[in-house]
Amino acid sequence: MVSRILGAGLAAFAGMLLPVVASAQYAGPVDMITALELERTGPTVRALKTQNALQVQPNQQLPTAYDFPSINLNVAFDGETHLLTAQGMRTLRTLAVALQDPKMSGQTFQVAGHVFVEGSGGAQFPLSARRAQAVVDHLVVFYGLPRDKLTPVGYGATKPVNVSNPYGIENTRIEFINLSGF
Amino acid sequence: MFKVLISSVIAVCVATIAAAEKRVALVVGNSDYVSSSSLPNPERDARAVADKLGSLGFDVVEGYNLGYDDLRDTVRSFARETRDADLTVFYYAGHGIAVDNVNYVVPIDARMDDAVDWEFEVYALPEILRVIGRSDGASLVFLDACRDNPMAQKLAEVRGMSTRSLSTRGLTPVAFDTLGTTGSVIAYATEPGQVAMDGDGDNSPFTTALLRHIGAANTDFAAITSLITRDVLDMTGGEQRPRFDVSLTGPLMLNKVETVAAQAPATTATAAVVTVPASSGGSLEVEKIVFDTARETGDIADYQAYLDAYPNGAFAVLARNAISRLQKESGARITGSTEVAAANTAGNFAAATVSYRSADPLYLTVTPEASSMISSQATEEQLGLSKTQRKAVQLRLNLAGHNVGRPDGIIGNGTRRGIRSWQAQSGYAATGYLNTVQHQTLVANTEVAFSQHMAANPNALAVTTRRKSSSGTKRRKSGNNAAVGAFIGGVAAGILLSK
Repeated sequence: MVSRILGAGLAAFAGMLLPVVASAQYAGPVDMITALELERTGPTVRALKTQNALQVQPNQQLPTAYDFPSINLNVAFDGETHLLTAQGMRTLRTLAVALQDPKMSGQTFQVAGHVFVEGSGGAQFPLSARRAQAVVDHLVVFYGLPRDKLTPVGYGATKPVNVSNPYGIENTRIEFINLSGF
Repeated sequence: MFKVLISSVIAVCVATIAAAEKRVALVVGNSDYVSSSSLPNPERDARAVADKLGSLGFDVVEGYNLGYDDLRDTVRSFARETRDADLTVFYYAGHGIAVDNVNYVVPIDARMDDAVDWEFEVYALPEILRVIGRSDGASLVFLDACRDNPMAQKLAEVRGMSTRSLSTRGLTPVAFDTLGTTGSVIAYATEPGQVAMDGDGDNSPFTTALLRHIGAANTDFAAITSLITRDVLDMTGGEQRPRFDVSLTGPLMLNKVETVAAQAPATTATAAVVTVPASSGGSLEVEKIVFDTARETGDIADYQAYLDAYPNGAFAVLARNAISRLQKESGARITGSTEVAAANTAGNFAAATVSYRSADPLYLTVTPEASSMISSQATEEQLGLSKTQRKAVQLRLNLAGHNVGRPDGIIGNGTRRGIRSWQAQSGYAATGYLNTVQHQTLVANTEVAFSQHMAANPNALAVTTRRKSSSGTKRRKSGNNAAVGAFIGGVAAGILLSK
């Protein structure tokens, strides 16, 4: 059966550098839109862009040091697979509502899979990639979101949000990163 | 020969239902509101309607001036009544509000002064409609709500409600598929978004007109709706126009005066019953009892119990249809608040205020894009299904009405057939192999039945074999009569467990 069900709750981050974990167990589309909106971010990246100093490829891992509007979702999968559970799909339903908002229309997102499982070693990277792909397929196929605006990327266990507890459940997640400003 | 037999037995069942029509009604009138001025008419209106429905042969569950707890209890006792009803009526008079396109019935003790608390003080109309939709029969819903609406005004002024789409002027239309498949009518005292009048007389204009016409002899309900509309327009000087959302699949008469055999097939059916060969009558009888039990409870698990015992039985098709319908209904119930899931697949970004509730069940609609994704042996291997996950797939296929036998985690020919049959029914190419999005569809669309089944049978996917499965199959081989006995025992136990 479902060996691990993560809460539908999520941790919203104001940025990669200064994570602010929302205490709410549940976020709605409005919270998600706020997290993903470009206007929300500080000037750091804007300045870099005008200087053309940052080159971003949507299909590659992003550098950690920059502030992309992003949101981390605890999307639930069935065990150590890329099989979405009903609960995971409900979380994505809420996200789909956010991505269908006019404020998000036409914008490009990287869908980043992060997997931190003790002892699984090399399996974490391919699993994170398959999960990202499954999430993109789900959103494209069932919610009509444009496939060319959602790029799946596996990060394996390279980018924990909680460095002090690498195998904490908060680290295994799907992250949506808005790349439209770059 | 065998075909004749099957059809005749089915026809007999139809005839039995038609003969004893069960009519049930839930009538609620809320007048004495605690935290806002009381409405003089709803209670009077509701009592009059309850009397009227009683005279039309309805078993009426009544409730007046109900607080939240009382309303919940009333709905619960009504839920029992509706299960095998052929015609179900819900009438509500009192305050109602619509938030994010969900209609709520307002109990008399609702305070409506807090952005969080209000939702726990009101009763969602879809909840009540869900109960009504559980029966196979037609249903009529009358909402004489949202008279001048201080409740919604009050709520609109509460801090934190500014992001919600709150109609301060009446209810919003109810999604049709909330109700059953046999047809339904949802009547609003006034156009959605408008406020209905309480009236100067003893009853509101809508209820006055309803009482006047609902008992019209031998009149199709569609004709009654236009009579009601005419009278309400007359009484209000054209200011209030009732709205009827009608999706009836045939004529519906509330007051049939002459006794007519309900449906044409009924007469032929009684004749056909004679052709049932006496020799096989016994086991069919048993099979029919089992099937009828499932139909009475209306439980997916009970239909499944029938299918387990008679995978190729005379009612197997009916049972599968019933299961898939029940599942669709339980999926459709969410549409009130989560239409976004299916409606926006066309890339429609126009939905400005979408409502959501993370705990609502999810029903995925198979889109052309979904069905265009290849499914093959390779795609299924990529899923990396464990034995438990394979058993879960088998259980879900069973629950979806595609019987693959007892889940054993071994995907053999039977399971392949079940997958093909499920794929064909869902709109996928019938390859017999799953891919990621098909697995997602299967999981989402069987989740309600699946979690119910798991709650009733916590060990359903356990690795050890269960006692029942082995003894059941063994006994099946040993002679006809013994087999019948074993099945009845097995099925009866299944029903008890699922209750």
